[in-house]
Amino acid sequence: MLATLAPVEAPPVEAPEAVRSSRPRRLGALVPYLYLLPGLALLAVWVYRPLTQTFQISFVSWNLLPTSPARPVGLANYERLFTLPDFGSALGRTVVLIVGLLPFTIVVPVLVGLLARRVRGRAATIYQGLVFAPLLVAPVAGAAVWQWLLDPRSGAVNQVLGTTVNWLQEPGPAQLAIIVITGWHVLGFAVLVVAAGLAGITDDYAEAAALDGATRSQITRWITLPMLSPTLVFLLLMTVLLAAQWSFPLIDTLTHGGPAGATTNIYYLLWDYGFHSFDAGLGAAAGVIFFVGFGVIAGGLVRLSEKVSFHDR
Amino acid sequence: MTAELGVGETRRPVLGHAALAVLGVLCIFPIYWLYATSFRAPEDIYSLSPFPWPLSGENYAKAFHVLDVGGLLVNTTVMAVGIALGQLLTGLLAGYAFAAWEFRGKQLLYLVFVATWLVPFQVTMIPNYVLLSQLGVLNTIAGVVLPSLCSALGVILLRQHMQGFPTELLEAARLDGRGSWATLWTVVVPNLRPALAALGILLFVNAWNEYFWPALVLQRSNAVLQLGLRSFMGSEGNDWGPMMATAGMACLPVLLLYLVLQKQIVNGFVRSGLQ
Amino acid sequence: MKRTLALVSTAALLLAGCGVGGAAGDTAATSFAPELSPDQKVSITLESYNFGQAGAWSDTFTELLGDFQKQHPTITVTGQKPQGSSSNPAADSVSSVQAQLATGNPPDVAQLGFSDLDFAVGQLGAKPLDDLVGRDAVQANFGGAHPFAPKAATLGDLNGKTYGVPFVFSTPVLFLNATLFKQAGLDPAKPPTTWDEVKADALAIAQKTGQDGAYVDCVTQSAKDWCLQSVVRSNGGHVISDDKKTLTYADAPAVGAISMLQDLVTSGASPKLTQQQAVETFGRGDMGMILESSALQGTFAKGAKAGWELQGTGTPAFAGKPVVPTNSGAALFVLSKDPAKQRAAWELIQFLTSDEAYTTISSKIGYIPLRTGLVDPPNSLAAWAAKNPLVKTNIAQLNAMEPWVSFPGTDYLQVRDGMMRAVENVVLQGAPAQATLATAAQQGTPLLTAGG
Repeated sequence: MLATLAPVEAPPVEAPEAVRSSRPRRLGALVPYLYLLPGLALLAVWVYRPLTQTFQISFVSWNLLPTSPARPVGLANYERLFTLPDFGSALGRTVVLIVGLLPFTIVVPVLVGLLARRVRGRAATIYQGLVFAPLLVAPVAGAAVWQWLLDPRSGAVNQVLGTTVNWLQEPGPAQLAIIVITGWHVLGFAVLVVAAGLAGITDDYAEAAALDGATRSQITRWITLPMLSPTLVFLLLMTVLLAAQWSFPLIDTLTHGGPAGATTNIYYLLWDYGFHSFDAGLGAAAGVIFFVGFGVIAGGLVRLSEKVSFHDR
Repeated sequence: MTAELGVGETRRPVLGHAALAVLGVLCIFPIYWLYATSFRAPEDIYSLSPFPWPLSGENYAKAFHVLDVGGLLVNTTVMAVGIALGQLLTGLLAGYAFAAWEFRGKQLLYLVFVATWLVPFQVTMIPNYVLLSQLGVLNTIAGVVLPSLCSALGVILLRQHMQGFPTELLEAARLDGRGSWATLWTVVVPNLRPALAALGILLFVNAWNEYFWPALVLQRSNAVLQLGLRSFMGSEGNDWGPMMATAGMACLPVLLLYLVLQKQIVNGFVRSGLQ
Repeated sequence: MKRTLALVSTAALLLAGCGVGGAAGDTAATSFAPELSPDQKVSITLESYNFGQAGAWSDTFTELLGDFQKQHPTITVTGQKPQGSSSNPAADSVSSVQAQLATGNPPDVAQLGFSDLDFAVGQLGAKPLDDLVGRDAVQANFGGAHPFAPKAATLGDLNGKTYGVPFVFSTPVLFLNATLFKQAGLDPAKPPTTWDEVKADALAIAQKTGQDGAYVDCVTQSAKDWCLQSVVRSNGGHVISDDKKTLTYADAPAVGAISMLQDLVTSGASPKLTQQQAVETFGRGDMGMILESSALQGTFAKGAKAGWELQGTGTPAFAGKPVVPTNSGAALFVLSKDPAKQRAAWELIQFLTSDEAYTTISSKIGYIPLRTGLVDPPNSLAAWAAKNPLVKTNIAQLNAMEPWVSFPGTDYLQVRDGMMRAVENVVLQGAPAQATLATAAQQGTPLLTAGG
């Protein structure tokens, strides 16, 4: 199930099997593990060790200080988490964020990818460069310039739209602003991934269909898009898993989760509990729920991608 | 959307150009505005004229006065290069293992890499901070680089690239009697160079824009460019001019890098990458 | 998925191999920190949010540390700003100290807000200065040729001991844009003294000049609650009971005060802005009035040079009721465990709260000198005070001031933020006052007793 996490699945390479069999068998069996060792060791120290501590902290009441004891509280942190109204509403806003980002990570990139195939040459390169550029801007620098653009009085956005909305101070507009700015940021990457996916689709089927009299739109609908579906699932997965992380620096700089909590998603809530409220147990419990919850969703999506990738070959 | 694409053959290129051009302008406008604002004179900072006139370097002068821009630039470069090289190397080795062998626990171990996407930064922050303090590398670039030496994205993409690698070449290397280590460096890496370069640049850009971890580790100095931005923010109101100038300088190196290498990046990613 | 998760976590568990939690209680009493011998070299760190933003604050602090170095050549002080990502460094001050404490290396001296007093003492291990250097020495520092204002001197006390030396603070001031007042046909020499007058004047300014009327910077989470406490108390209410066991911000006087602020917004007298936007708008000269910390005087005065006239007056009253100003600001705490560093820290604190330091701080940043006598002629700040009439207003308010009350327990920030979110919801987003505040108070009450 894991192999399909990547956009386009290639068949496993056979030759290295032969490489392996040419060596003494027992030693040879260790070789791939040795190659994995540096990465695994780093992850063990810098990701899974802290994660384990988080599991442990989620069952205690503690403020992280070496001078104060951790008091075991069983499942109390989890119970508190689920009874807090903040948690449910943050979950809801996370869904809104993810759904709101899908146009930027899937719909527009596919449109751009299909259009870019018709527009060839230098122009295509320029368009691609323009769309990709926001990815190069640091999130904090991006947040700064958008804060400037969204200023209610002297901001360019209100001047152009002829509105007087205070984007970052009204709940609805603030959420919309966060979605658009996050989308602006990641669009270039998604376009690149779609371009890679499209480049990987052989023209054979389309040519055959064209010979049979299919129109371009029919080819797009019935051949190109289905064959692109593994790429789209990959993007969907990335959006679901990383949307809250992508938006975090923007929320932290622009709205601090406000106004009145309107942009507090699950990821920001985690931050708030753990590091602004010094409730390490509650923050850890939220982190564990986050890990397990998104793990389950990711598992489901990978299943889905196994089903759709059937079309590919 | 498919209906739109199906409009008559002759109109399609025009439609394509128009749609892509509009999108491109929308994407680039905030970046243009950043630079435009940074070149406005302090008294024009609230001006909305699309072109900054008269041009003024005063914001840059102020940014240079407050920040040691040269030192920050060096630090940021060292940090970004260190992180990108580390991630490239761990990704290369892990990707090679996943692409070229069948072994017990392969799927589980791959999951161990991918599952790092599920671990929020907030969860690892304090334990890693404490460990860095025990290692004595707080307030150093090494402290920023160490925890970031392995990235899931690098492993996933390089595994993907290597699965597309022609098996005949590996077979030929084996017949030459080369071991897997020699094969990696003499056959795989030279052939993957465009992809490695493209990914390396992507990782470099990511590392360059890193903000939260340096903000925690590098407390005693404004040691990287992104942190320099903070010097102009505060409860007294933001100092927009120098802030935009600093943001502009922080983005410039990666924008230039991309401008020069765009073709290689896109090709490396698209062509040799995913099929 | 579950099975793999279990596997992964087991593996990681083996790697971590240890439990969590600290040693049970650092209960040892703080002992006396002996005087330093003349050639004893000590290095200490000072963590202050004043190092965060480039400008008057960090320049002044760097200058002060330089002066200290000259007077105490054996003591090396390294200044650092709070770590963290917040654009407002003051917001990171507690979490920064906490993260460093987790490594066992807290800064030796930290500047923390009065709202954090309970937490600093109970959780961050701030040392009782009375034990460290003796109560007489602490009191002597509050005295001197120009003693601390009596109300100010006790703000860092908890349970009968002095933990923090109050350092910089301000009271809420109603800043006015006299130019806009005149344009709206109002007389800036007769500034509003009650909230009703504020509303009337603000509406006049909004209607006649097209600019914003009045902003009360007491209603958002980033503003914290010090100024809200002033408004609520001026209406006879409290946000928390005296025994710190009950939240009282949903009681009638508090609800009345917060509803009044809501009415300013719904009537159009007050714009819907974030704290930062409001400060920038007023600084540009596009707003009639702003109720703000007197610490922003310098920032506004700089903005006013662009062609508008800055004035200021005291906190407005509710008709027929006395005004109760509260203080914002911070105290200096000693966190070091090493006796030599503790003594060096005390030397630094004495210097930073000396006549000399206050002269520098007040004239360059605009905070009120806590040694209020300095502004009387012929003392060092007399000339500065004469140029800044607001200083008198501030010092007058200082005498009527009630302290900024901190919430108790480890979850004090959740309690405070919960209240401020509810207030923001009511005032800026138009939520029903009574119901919204009551719900927040109900959720906050169990958190008051949460202990570490």
